[in-house]
Amino acid sequence: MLFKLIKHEFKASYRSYLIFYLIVIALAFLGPVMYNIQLEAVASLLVPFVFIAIFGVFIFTLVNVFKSFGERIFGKPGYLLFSVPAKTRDIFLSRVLVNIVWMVSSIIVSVIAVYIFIVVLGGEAVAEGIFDTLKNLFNAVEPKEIILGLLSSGISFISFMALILLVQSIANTLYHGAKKGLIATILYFVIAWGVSFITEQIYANLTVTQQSYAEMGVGVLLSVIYFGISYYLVDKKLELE
Amino acid sequence: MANSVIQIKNLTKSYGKTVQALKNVNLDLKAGTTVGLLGPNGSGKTTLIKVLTGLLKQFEGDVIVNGEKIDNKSKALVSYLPDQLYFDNWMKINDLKAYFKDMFADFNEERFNQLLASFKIEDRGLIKKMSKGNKEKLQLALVLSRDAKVYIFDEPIGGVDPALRDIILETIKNYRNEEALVILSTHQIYDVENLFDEVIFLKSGEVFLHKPTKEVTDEYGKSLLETFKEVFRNVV
Repeated sequence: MLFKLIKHEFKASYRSYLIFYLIVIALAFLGPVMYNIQLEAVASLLVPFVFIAIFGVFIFTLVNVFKSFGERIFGKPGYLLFSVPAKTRDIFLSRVLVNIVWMVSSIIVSVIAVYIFIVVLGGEAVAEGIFDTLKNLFNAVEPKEIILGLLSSGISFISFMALILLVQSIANTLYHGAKKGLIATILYFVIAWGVSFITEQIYANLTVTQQSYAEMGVGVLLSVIYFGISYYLVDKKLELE
Repeated sequence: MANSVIQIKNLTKSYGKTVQALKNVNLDLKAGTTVGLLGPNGSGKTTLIKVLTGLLKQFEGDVIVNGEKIDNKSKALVSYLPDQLYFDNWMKINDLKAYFKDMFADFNEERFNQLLASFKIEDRGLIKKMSKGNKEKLQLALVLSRDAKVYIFDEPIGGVDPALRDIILETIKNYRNEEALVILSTHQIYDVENLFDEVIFLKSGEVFLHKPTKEVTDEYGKSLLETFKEVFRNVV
């Protein structure tokens, strides 16, 4: 059932993401091309849109993630979702995995868009310069550090998703008013700020390496707590309106 | 004697501290019967249905579907038509068909195509662009295309025009699994009394009566509609 849920979650989301990605890549390419062919008036119009679009990918992804854990679980589509013989755990997991894929894709698309923009504007020499810089950067970093960085990013993504799931679950099970979106958003910032305040005190006396291990540990612990509470709320307290 | 498919014991459901939507409901519903769940607005019909379908999980009492407490196994046996449209904005008819085929082992694709044809629903892209009547018929076609043990229809004829109401009632009568339990909730008794083997009158969250339809009409010496009006005169 988990794989079926993942499949349909991808079907539910891929159209809007792909269209947005294509727009960003197209703008990143066309903006500098206009400069290169001396159409500076058009280029000066397009270039701001390139940066807006790249920034927009992140906003778009965040809004979609929030909706995916909010109205697409607890709103009207929830009537169908909670009628299917799926475990709550599988519903959550499918959403988390698919949204992580889209978040990573959005980052990759943004990096590609920036790269295209720079290379098309600056030519082959700039492309080689970027490659050399990246090569030197990778050579300077230990493989262990790269693995740790990737692990840490993965845990951060999961912890971020888990917090969104938690605030949406609270806003849609314990709160019975009409402003669920607002309540979820406020809760998100309050909890995120509270956690950050407490962890800063804990990390204050640690070395950089100790801190990165501690961050991963705290990330895992928080993810488990957020998922546990969300699971309990949806499995025991669900009240679709 | 038919098997019990749904057993409800001492079911009470409150919203907050003041509103009691269901009060000590006890019911035993059997396979092969069509049950009318009748009552005015606010009598607790939708709340009872949401409990049966697992959409409401906070309640007191025991609810057993096919011998098991409500969980994902019981959901596989229940085909549910809610009182609102649940389509996501991205969906097309083929997406929905694929979703039902994947999620429900008892989905009958041939019957679904047959129902789409008889409802004259054409696939013209996104469902959100279809008329409200066609969306309602599409949702009904999905529900009836399952060979379920229990069919639950929540206000399927509420707010629809008379022609569509007839189509809906005819379809429910003709396309359902004969051995299944059918629960149909409505506050519009007109034209539906012949459909029901049994009726449940819900009054302010309590079961006022649960009897075979004939027994009710004989006892009151009136049609079901007139009986309903008499029972709920002071409530509506």
